[in-house]
Amino acid sequence: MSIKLLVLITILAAILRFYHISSNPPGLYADEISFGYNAYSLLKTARDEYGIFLPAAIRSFDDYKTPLYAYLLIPSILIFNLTEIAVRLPSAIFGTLSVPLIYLISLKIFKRKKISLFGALLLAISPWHLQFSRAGFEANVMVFFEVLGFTLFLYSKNRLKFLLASAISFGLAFNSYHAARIWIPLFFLAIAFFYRKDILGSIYKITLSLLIFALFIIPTVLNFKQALIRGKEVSIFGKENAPKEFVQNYLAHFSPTFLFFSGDSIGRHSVSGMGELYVFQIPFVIIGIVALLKKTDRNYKLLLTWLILSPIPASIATPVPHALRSITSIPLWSIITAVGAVSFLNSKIEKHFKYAAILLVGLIFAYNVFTYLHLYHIHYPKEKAADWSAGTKDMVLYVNDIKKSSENIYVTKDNGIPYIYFLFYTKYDPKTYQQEHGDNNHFDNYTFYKGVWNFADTGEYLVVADPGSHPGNLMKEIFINEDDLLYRIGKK
Amino acid sequence: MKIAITMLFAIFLILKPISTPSNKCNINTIFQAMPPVIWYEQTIDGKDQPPTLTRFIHNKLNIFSSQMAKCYAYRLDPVDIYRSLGILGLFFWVYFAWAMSQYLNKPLIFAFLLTPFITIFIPDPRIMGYSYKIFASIGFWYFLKRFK
Repeated sequence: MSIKLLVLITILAAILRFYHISSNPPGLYADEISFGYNAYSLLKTARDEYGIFLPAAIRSFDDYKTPLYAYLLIPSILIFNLTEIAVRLPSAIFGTLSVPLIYLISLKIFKRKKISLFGALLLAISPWHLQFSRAGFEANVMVFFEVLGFTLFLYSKNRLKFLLASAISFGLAFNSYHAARIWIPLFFLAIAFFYRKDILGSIYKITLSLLIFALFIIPTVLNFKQALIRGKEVSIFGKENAPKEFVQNYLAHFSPTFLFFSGDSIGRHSVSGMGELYVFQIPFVIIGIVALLKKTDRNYKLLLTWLILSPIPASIATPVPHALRSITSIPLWSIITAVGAVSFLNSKIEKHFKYAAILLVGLIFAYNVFTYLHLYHIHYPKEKAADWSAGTKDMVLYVNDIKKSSENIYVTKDNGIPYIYFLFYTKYDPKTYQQEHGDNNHFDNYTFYKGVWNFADTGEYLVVADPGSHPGNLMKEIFINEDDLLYRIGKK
Repeated sequence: MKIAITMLFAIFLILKPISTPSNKCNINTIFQAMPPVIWYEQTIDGKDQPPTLTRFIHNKLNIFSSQMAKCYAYRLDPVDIYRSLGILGLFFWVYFAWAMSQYLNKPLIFAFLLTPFITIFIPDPRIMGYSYKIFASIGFWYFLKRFK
């Protein structure tokens, strides 16, 4: 019975993650596009856009992204070509597959099917997890491999294969997102601490697993300077009062406003009018934490340690609270809520009160989920179109349609990073691009400029300008949401 | 002895200046926010959506309760509590919450849960800072009680 329910929950998770995935979020943002084009380049030439052979870090916008997502995209792009669905597919698949893993983790720790099923259901409908599963966020893949690694570890007693697979999974997680380079070692230490007796009892197996994990660290070690670039850009270290800022950043991730009412302020990271969790979870989160604190079982303590450690990667950077950098805590909130709910159901309070509470929470649950789906599918594409660079695809396709091979094309950089959009949507040959590559300001007959369009070209040219500029003879205006002007395209 | 130590700790906390909360919402700002929020939400829904659905999700009661809940949540912001109490004070404030879940002292639980709500009706939100200090001091007392 519980397996049937788990299958149904997983199907629900898949529906919620795949429904209108190409059109909502309402555009591909620059990092998605970059992963997509680099995967395309790897597929065609085994090199990234800069011509690096099988890169251990994707240079992209000089932020040296972790490489795993680009490699995972290759089969998807092979099947679906350079499209929205191709770029988002791996994230949605891994997001869906994380749901049954939560069931397995909960079952192993609590040995209660109710907790396991409810935990899986909560992850399936989690606004936080859905947000990152429906777009090409490499961090979502990290969560999958982290959870898979932990599941395999929990089930690895007397099963060496599981232990080795767990090490591989954690190794992949390490290479899937910048914050993983802090998080995975922290999580390792936590596991090592709570399982120290088992570890000391099987030194050979653990050493072998650690050696396998170490193999996955090599790319980061070899690219150590580059691996630090993104971290340095957002880090709080070196700032005045860094320790105090760290504490405040850390605490911000436990703010009830962030968790239950407002969410992350970055448009790509959450839906307006919603927190990262549902309001109905509030009492169960409290009961769940108290229930975990009361038990002496090491797995319970490990879960609490996971909760305490999870905001650390996000806390050494700005802005905060940051839903993406603290993404590792998502599965945990689902498990804690499930523990709280089942603890409440099993509590010895008066029956009438319990039934009334269940009815009330059930109504709030239904209302919360309905409201979330409404906000996500009706409001979100309108409100956050600009955050997803909506309109840029229309501009690229229009320019590509009307351009002549002889004319120069000037495109403003004021609305993002247009060169990668032209590469992606025109399916520009990666080999040609690698050969002519100088910087991200020119390729083919495209030139990308910053500021107001105010220079003249003696020949025939096409210009894509920001809304404040006058690009010669106006040919087309690109809007988002019908009335927000994004680009003006003109010709001379 | 424990009473004396608790008193000293309470004095130390009380002498610490209260920081201005990150959000100064109160009942007046909640009422002020409602019309523009309703207008905004209904505009985004657009003309094509059935009015019943719009009213079901973006009604006055829902907006009011969500604004109230948000304001309540702001009163329990751990960053604000840290700014007013420091790291030690925050620890004992959390310890107080933990102690309440263990000892189930009903009057204190009610006071703890109702204080943020009551302060929504007081124009100056800094009043909440004093409640942090009181609860942290009680938390400190509970903490000392562990040691015989």
